[in-house]
Amino acid sequence: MTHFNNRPVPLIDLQKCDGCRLCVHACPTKALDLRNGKAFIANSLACEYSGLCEAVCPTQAISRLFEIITK
Amino acid sequence: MSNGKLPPKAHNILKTVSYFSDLDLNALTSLEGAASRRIYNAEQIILLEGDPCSGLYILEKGWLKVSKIGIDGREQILKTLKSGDVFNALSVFTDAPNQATVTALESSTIWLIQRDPLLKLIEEYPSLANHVIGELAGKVQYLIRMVEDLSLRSVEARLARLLLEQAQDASVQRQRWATQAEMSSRLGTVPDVLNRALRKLAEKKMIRVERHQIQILDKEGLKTVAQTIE
Repeated sequence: MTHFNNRPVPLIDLQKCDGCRLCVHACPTKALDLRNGKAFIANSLACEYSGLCEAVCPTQAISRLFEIITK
Repeated sequence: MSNGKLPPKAHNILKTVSYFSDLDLNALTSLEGAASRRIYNAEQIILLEGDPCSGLYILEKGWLKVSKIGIDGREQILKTLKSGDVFNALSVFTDAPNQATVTALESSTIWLIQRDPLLKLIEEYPSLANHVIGELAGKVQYLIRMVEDLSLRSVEARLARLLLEQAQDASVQRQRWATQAEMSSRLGTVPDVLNRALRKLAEKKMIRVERHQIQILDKEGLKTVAQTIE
């Protein structure tokens, strides 16, 4: 289950992920790594939500969730 | 023409067309041989949409309207032509039927240069070909910019509407989360274009994207953008 908190991280669909590591290399803050052949957010504090992992993933396995609020 | 001299009228008209401005006398003579001059009265049709292409037209003097008939039978005026304008050029080079109907709005003098002699001339005179390529390339660039702009603007309006609909008060329990894939799909576009639209709205200071939050800063502003329907 995903916990919606103040610092969410991108969701990774493990069924779509094929372990290609492109996201690991694309991440500017090295927040991603591989575990059991699948990508995961190894360092959630480092994640800046840049979206580069989402953009580079060839199977669209990564999605960032956004919330829309009024300030 | 036994002495190779063109009647002043034809020569002057042809010279004013940018396509032909570099041509020498021989070329202009050939051109003139392929040109015919006609006068149309108001309401007369010069060329009909869908008819096979006859050639390139030059409006020497007068006023014309260019229009298309929509599926519902309504006429849509695309533009008007004034003295000196060249039209139907595109059909000549694509061998397509006329793309629109051209009708005279007042008494107009028109030159028609037939397609085949014109094409043959282009083979013989590289400068003519260059001019034509330049004009067409310019048209294409203009159209690309216009399409990009139109497509982005309408996405912006739809995005503004979506944001207003989806926004919830910061104090309310968060329920709705959306991915960029979902948002762009709902807007009938792709994440790339969605991102550009988000950036545009942020530039206008109507929203701010802070990590996972799209914050609405200017509700009224967004309402205005949302109302601009193309």
